[in-house]
Amino acid sequence: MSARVVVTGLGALSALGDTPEALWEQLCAGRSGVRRQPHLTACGLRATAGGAVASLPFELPARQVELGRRAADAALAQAQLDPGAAGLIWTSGLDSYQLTPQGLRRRLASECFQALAARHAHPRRMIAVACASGTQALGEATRLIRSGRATACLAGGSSTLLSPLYASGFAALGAVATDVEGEDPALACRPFDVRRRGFALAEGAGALVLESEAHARRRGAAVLAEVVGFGSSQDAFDLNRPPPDGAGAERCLRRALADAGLEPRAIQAVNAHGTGTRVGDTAEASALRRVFGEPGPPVTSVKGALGHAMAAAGALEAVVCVLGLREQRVPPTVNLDQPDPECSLDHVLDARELAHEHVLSCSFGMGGQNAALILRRGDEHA
Amino acid sequence: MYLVAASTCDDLAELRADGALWRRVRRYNLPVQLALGAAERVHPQLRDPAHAAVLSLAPCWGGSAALHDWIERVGARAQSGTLGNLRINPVHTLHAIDNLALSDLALALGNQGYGLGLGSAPGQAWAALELLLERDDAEGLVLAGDHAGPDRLDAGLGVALGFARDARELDGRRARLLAVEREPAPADVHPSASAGLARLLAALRDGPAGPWSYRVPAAEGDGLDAITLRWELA
Repeated sequence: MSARVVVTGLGALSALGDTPEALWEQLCAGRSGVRRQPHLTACGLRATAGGAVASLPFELPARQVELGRRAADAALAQAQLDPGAAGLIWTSGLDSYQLTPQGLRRRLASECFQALAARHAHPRRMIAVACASGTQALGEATRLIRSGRATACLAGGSSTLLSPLYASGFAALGAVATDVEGEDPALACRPFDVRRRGFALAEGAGALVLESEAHARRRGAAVLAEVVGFGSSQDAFDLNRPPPDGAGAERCLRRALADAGLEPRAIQAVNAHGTGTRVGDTAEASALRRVFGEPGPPVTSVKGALGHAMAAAGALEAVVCVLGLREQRVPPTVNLDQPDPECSLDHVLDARELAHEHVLSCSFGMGGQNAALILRRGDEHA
Repeated sequence: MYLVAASTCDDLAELRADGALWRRVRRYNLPVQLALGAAERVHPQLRDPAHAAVLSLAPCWGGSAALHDWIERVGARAQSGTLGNLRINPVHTLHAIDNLALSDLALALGNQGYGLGLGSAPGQAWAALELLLERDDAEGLVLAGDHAGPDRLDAGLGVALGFARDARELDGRRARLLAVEREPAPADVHPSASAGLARLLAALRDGPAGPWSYRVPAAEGDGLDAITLRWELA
């Protein structure tokens, strides 16, 4: 008999504030945290809209470590759990390059992981599956707790790629939304919209404390949600794009449902990966339609409001899903005004009251790694 | 899990000699090339590589000379406000990616099994072996590649290990991994995704028949635990 896995702590720093509550309130109000980034504008870049964590100045030394630590500390504090009593399954994305007067200074992704790992119990695993990393970290932690190899884990991730190097690199790949003269930068990323033209680069950190239900009950911890299913897959199709029919994503979603022992109709809300790229959104919509039928459950992408926090995105979005289950509400897809007929889904255009027991959150990484998580409403709505 | 195939690769000439493989990997950076070069000699020895679990380790010292050159130019252009005019070879962006070996191998094998990339922190190689022991996949493949050091982008090492749940021989003997054990023991490390696995393979060749323990050198661990691998050799 495998252990039930519950969520007892949340931490989130994003373009919409430094707490899960701030993130939730701003999302439901339909506000965007994507802004013109002066440090990118000053470099002469043509894609300068991004989602920054405003409370952390860009010149702060070891900024990537501080970002991860703040999210981790918040989640552990809410759970009232000592890090030494929990494993760490974490992603800190790619090496980042901080602009200094001497040029770009390399900050190793592993520095953040190691700084956190030093205070955690085993297992300590650093996940690296691109944009699927945050969701994958949560799935790996779930597996460890279910099997009894860990009683509690801090899981999630952080990413600080909102820098001139990555902004220019993603622009070279045609993945980010380039600036349009006269347009509000908050409109740069338009998931599933017919006018979408790429994602807005962002940064952030999301942290969740996962533990066995028995462990949480013994401690008297409030159960915010339960993780009931996880699935992953590999596209094995192309390094730079998903198959147009979303076959790899579909396989991932079906594996998550099978793991949860749920039929598709049991999923009442979906947090989509929804980055706002032409091919990615179409493939994802195709996969969702094939799994859930049409119109299927209400679908939200938060990336119009947050930008794409890359490795951290899945963890931030899992935080949003937990809060949605608690509030029985789903946030809108900001900037989605003209849904693309090729992305036909039940899009949430305004925050919607929604009685829901299960929500599915998916992340699809560049290179073809896919991950999906299914969360169930907790029984204590603290 | 039985170790059923293993290979190391430190010479790009070997990869260049295989035209099809070289065409596939030539645009990647050295750690990814060497990891895939080693994996190319291991996966044919698995019975069903399309469904094997694949665990890929990100290099502790990634990048490439071309990427570093690009970074220098980005830094200079950023200071002068002319970055928007800088032309970038998109291929070099691949050299910043940490899950590339996993993606490429999945593509080459049409792999539909469990795939996971582990990050660039020291000692994640041993976490990969733990993961295989925890799971129930019939076969698994661990691959890693790294530069020789942060300032040694001209040299590196790739390693691949193939495992199977059922008893099979490697070079006339059976090597069964039973457990990965840990005790807290902080230590300084020399980060490398692949060097520790290569040293393990060398030690395994000389291991006596019967129960055998391999104590991971502290410098090749994660800096937090003393790690011991328990094997049964026959």
